[in-house]
Amino acid sequence: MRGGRLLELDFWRCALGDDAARFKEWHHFLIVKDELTVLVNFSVDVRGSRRDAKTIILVHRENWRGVLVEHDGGAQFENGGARAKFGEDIFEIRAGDFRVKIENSDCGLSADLSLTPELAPIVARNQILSPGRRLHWILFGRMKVRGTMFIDDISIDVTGADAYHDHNWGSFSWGEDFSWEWSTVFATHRGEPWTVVYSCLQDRARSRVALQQFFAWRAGENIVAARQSAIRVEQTSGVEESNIFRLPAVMGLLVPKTLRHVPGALRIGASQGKIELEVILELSRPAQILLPSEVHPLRVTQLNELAGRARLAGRIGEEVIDVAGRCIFELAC
Amino acid sequence: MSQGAASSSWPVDQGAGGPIAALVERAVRVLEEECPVHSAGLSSVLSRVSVGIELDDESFSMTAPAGRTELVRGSARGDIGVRATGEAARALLEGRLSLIDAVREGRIRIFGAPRVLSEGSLALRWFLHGLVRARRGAGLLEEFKVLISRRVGRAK
Repeated sequence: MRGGRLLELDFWRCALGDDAARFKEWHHFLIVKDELTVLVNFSVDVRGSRRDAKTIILVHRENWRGVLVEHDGGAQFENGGARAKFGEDIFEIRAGDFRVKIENSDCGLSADLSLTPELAPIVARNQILSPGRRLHWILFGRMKVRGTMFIDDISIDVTGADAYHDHNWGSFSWGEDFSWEWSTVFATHRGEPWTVVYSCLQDRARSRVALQQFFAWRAGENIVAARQSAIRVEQTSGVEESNIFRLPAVMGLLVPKTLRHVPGALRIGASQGKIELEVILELSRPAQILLPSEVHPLRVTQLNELAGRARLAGRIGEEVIDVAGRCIFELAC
Repeated sequence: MSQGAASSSWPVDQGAGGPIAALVERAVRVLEEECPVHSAGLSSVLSRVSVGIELDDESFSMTAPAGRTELVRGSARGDIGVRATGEAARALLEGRLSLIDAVREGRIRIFGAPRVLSEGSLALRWFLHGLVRARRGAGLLEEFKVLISRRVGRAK
């Protein structure tokens, strides 16, 4: 991206200082290298003059581990929001890349990474989340990583790893009448990177679809941008229900143990012109981020994060595509 | 949990009933101040059924005779009885143990007529849902874990 354009597009809206009655905003990053998946989320929840800032870090290799950190001092914004400090963690929007610096001994992770977008962003404004509520987002489907991560003091060179970034903001409350599914897939076919991003906004009962999208990129080119009727989704199995990692752990006492609604495997397909593509996701047990409902005193909103293997298959005209990759899937309900 | 979360500024009451009871009482007051809906929900249940708790060497009961939750220290009498070690309670709060497994393994014992046990479950839900929403809640939970860790360390 042209220098300076990142900040112009992806700045923190809450850094403008407008005290909305209720406003949420987060910057979300995924880094995937071989069997390692790392999720980092910086969020600010504005309620009048109060601003709650959190960092969520999740790491998946064979199992999930992670932390949810609530920063008592809030987040500090510098340079018009180009640099945000969440405790010791830093997120910077620079001329042509993002910097994510994490220092967390509780989950044994430290990293100082540069993430450079490889695809043009997709911007969505005023998407209907629930009656009277709108959600906005920017997503960068694929980025390249430079840097080293330390997990339990073991260094892992993640230079060249694949990464994803999205930035969401809007005025809404957890527990209102919405849910969403979202997934990203990274694969490489004959040296060409393939990326798929799928999202589906639904009502809380998951019976009515408000928006469903499927994007695919081949190398740097967007080749599929499909919506609703051109997309088909099939859940083919459920997830094992034991030993679910939950943040915060204490809220595990407040959610049902059943995970019937969480997929263990999915097929998501889309058609556009001469292109037929399908991603087949085989997912791990979820990590659950549990958020108290803001509209019901005894309910919890679940963000289920699942990592796993993916297969991208289909045809572009006469060309057959069949390639293995990695995926992340999120179900918010 | 929270890094740098501020502990409650109230001093820990080391009087009769012990530090665990004092911590629970502070949590009840935090709910009154920060989560009045949850405080009212808890009091409503406790005005109908009382809960007697034995945790390690401490005994106390929770009731709400005048519509406000009170702790009576030194006695674990109640319509519902809960007997547990602090270590089992800590394992629950840290997600290492589910309530069902804790009861199945005998690490937590719960007594009471079937018709009141569901009320006890509702009281626990009001209490915990309030605590996870309260700004001081994370600090209180952390204090509890530290308290139990120190006891376990002394016992070894």
